[in-house]
Parts: sequence; C-alpha cells; structure tokens
Amino acid sequence: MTTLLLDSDIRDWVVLPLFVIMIAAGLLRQNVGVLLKADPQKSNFIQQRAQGTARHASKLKSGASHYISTWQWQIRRMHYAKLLQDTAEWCESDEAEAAGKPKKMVKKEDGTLVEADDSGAADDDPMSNMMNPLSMMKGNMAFMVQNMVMMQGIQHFFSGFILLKVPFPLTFGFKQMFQRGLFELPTLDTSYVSSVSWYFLVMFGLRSFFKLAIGDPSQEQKEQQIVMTQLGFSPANPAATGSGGDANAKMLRGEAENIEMFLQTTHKSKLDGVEKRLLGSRYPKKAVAYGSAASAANDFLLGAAGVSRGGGKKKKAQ
Amino acid sequence: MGPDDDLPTLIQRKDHLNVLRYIRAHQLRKPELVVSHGLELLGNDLTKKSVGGDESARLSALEQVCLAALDLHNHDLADQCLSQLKASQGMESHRFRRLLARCLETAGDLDGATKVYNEMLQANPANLVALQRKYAMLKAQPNKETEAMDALNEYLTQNMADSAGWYEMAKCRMNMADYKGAAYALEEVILSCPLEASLHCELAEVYCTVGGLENLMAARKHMAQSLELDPSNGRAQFGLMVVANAYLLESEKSAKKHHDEHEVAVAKELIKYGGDQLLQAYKGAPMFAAVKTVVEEYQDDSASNE
Repeated sequence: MTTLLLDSDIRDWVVLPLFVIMIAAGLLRQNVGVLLKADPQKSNFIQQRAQGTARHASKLKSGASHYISTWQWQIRRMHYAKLLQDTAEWCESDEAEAAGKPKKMVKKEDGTLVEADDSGAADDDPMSNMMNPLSMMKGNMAFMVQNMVMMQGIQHFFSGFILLKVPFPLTFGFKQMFQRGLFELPTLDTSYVSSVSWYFLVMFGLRSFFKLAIGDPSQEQKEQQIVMTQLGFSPANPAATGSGGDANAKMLRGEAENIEMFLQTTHKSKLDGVEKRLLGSRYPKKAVAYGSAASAANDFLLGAAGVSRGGGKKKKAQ
Repeated sequence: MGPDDDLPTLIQRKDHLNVLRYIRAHQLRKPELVVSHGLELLGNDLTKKSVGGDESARLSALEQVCLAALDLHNHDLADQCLSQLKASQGMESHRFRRLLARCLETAGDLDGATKVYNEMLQANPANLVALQRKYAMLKAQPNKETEAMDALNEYLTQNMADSAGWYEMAKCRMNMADYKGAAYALEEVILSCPLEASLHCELAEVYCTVGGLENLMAARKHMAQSLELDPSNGRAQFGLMVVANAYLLESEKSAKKHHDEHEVAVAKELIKYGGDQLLQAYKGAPMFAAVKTVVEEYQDDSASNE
C-alpha cells in the first residue's frame, strides 16, 4: 500500500474552511436555540403531589430513621403505607383531574380576570402536549434542520474526492460509510475518507469545545430555573409532562407496598441507646441480683423456687 | 452558586453586582446592604441601563432591591422598583406578579394580594409560592390561627417534602397548645434534618410538656441525643436535668409494675451528668453561683428520692 499524495489545495480549500464553517454554524445554532426556546410547561399538579408524598415517605428508609424512637418509626411505617394508598386513590379520582386543570382566564371589559367558558373542551388527555408538534419541534428544530442542510450541502459540493487520511487504521466495514462517492474503489485504503466523514468527526469533536466556549450559565439564569420550579413550571421538556393520574397512582402503590412489606420490620432505632452512649462509663449497670426480692419476682425460676437463695447480691456486669 | 470571594472582600472592592449576587446566593437577610449597593449599582433613580451583566442581571437586582426596600418599609423605593420592572416585563410575567403581591402584602392590602395569588393558582394549580404566601398572610394576622392552619395544611399536602413547612406546622400547633401534633410535625422535620441538635432539644421539651411516662422517656432520649450531637448546647444541658427529673416524679406516681429500677437509676445519672456539664460550662462566669444553686437543687432532689 503506497501512501497517496493529496493536493495541498484540498487542505486549504476544503478541510480548513469546513472546520471554520462548522464552528460558526454551531455558535449560530446556540443563539438561534435561545430565541426559539419553548415556553416553560406548567408542572403537573397531580404529579407534584405524588412525587412530594413519595419523596417524603422514602425518608423512612434513610439514616434519619435512627434519630426518632423505634415506636414512632413503626407508627410512621403503617401511616405512610396508608397515606400513599390514599394519595394513589386521590390521583385517580375525578376531583384531582378537576383541581389540576389550569383554568383559562380572559379579561372582561372592566379589566377583571374571569374563567373562560371552557365547557366544550373535552381535551384533558395528558398526551395532548406530545401531540402538539410545534412545541417539540421548536426545541430540536434548529439542530435537525442545520444537520440536514449541511450534510446535503457537503455531499453536493465536496463529493468525489479523497479529503484526508485518518491517522488510525480502520476495518473494511467502514469503507462504505466513509468513502461515499469515491466510486467504491476496492483497493483504496480505508483510512482515506471523504468529506462527509470529516463533517461527522468535527461535529462530535466540537461538542466539548462548545461547552467550553459558551461557558457556565450566569447566576441569574440558574436562579430563574429555581424560581420557575417554585412557581409551578417544569423546565421546557415536552416529554416530561406526560404522566396522568394512573402512572402516578401506580408509582405510589408500589411505594406503599415497599414500605409495608419490604421495609425491615425489625428496625431498632439507635435513639434507644443514646443515653448509654452519652453517659459512657457513668451509665448505671443493669443489676441482675440473684436473691434480691425485686429480681426474684421478675425471674420465673428463682421466684418459683422461693426467695431464700444465698445472702450476698451478686451483681453481674451487663 | 455565587461569586467566589467572600462578602467583606467584595464590599471593599465596591463590586456592587457581585455583592448583590453573593447575598442572593447565600440567602442572607441584609436589607441595608442590598439597598445601598443596589442604589449604587442602578443609580439613585434606578435608571442606569447597564450594570456589568446582561439585562437579566439588572432585573434580578431590581427585584432584590424591591424586596429589601419592603423589609425596611421604604415603600417609595419599592414602588420605583416595581414601575421599572413593569416597564420592562409587564403584568404577564409570573415573577412580576409574585413581587407585586409581596408589595401589596407589605402595604397592608391583604385582599389585593390574596386576589393576585388566587389568580395565579387558577392559572396554574401547581404554584407552590402562592400557597405558601397565602399561609404567611394568614399567619401574620391575629386571631386567624385555624385558617392559617388550614392554609398550611393545603400547602403541605401539595408539597409534603418541605421540611421548613413542617416546622411551621410544629410552631403553629404549639401556638394552639396541640403538643402531640407539634411533636409529630417536629419528628417529620427531624426525618429531613436528623443531625440538628436544637430540633431534638425542642422535641424533648414538647414531649415533656405532653407528659406521661412513655413520652417522658422519649423526651429523655431526645434531650440526650441533642447533647450527643452538640455537647455545648446549654439549653439541652438544663433540659436534660429537667426532663430526667420529670421522669423521676412521674415514675414515682405510677403503679409499681411500671416502675423500672434501671431506668430510674439512669434518670438520676442523667441529672448528675447534666448538672456536671452545666457547672463546667459556667465555670468562671458571673452566673456561676446561681447556676450552682439550681443544679444542687435538682441533684439533691434526686438524691433524696433514693
């Protein structure tokens, strides 16, 4: 296999310009993405309650369970199991659907806001947002459109010649992918690639570069996200707002079962031994005294056999 | 979040924007600082166009200065901030409406504020801030404890994982003398923040107030836990003596079969321990003599019960 000598014009007029074009295109895409950002979606009311309840109930499994008394933990175990079941039922009920639907407000002539007459709308299908093509498209449109356009452009303008040789050897299978338009020369070393593969290489390579170039979002942007969550909006993600009552109910029932059956029923909180740990060596030793009246009353065998066992109190160290 | 330097450095450098950012990031309550640096940053009539960041930095600063002005009861400044924000964002912005409602609350127009919050809830039932503020408004009014509690209930059912909300519930219940409820709520808070010594101390006090042998036992344990987490907690040191003493008194009153010798011994030891810790802590302090009298009273009491 001899090495091919490629015209240096290829480098000057194709490789470097392509590189520069792709950097510029990436930056353009970022800025256009900001302009086309979809509106934040309203958080799902039912989902919010379900997730909050589940998260709270899961604290029983955490280390904090050793900082409340054992009997309180047991009580909570039973209470949370019931609470999760009740919330699951609520999720499926009509009342939740009604409460969770945001009401459209219209302005009357005197400036007050009243509920829009919505009696005709039967659309409480939680998947309706997925069907709205515009919101989903807006998010990915910039990227997809640009991808398509660039690939078509490159295949049109820069086809039919070898662009460069990649420094690592490739197997035969890659030939078809990387050498499009090169008339499928069977003897051509797979390391020689065409322009489309250069495009892919640079595209994946520049992702990290862009993360560096764009930099961290400013503090105000991070705060905006937090505030939006508090005000009841989840970040613009059409896939996130799909769960209706049933999915949540199922999740809650699963959690309830977990708590009721699988959570370790023999849990003994470390709070029970805290006084011993605090007092350390000053902790009074439990006196097991053979022959003392009190312990004899408690001790079945000795009590039955009578109290007249030997004189001295033998103190057994616990 | 927040600038890398600490506050005194930023103040010295007169870096107004970053001072404001720092205060926001660390959630400090320093209204005078905010107002003075904010006015420097935005100009005395709040019309400076560029503040060294982008537009969102200016708007965030305006919002922050507005809230600080409300804290200082400087309604004029708050109004100015509001009008600047309204000019830029308009009535449709949710953040603006939240700020407007806060201003109405401070101005005393609670009905107006409630109206704004109700509108926000109609439009988006998942709005936690609105539910929270409705409770806060009721809490601030006298003689509205039951309504406040209902509002808080509503907030907590929607957002059960909020430990600060549960703490509010505990305080509410204590106000209404429902100590069992307060104990439950405090335990929910402890489940979220188990290592907080003051919470255990408070819970022990509540259990002691409720009374009854089992509750006093729990009170002892939580007081001990508080001391284990923070041995310098003076309130817990006093509290340990009090609670153990209460346990002793209660166990004397109870029937013989509940009388557990070992636990009584532990309680006495706890009193001694608490007393010793106190005397050590107050050594050399002017109050030492008074503290010694109290401690000796408790220790003699427990000794005389033997």
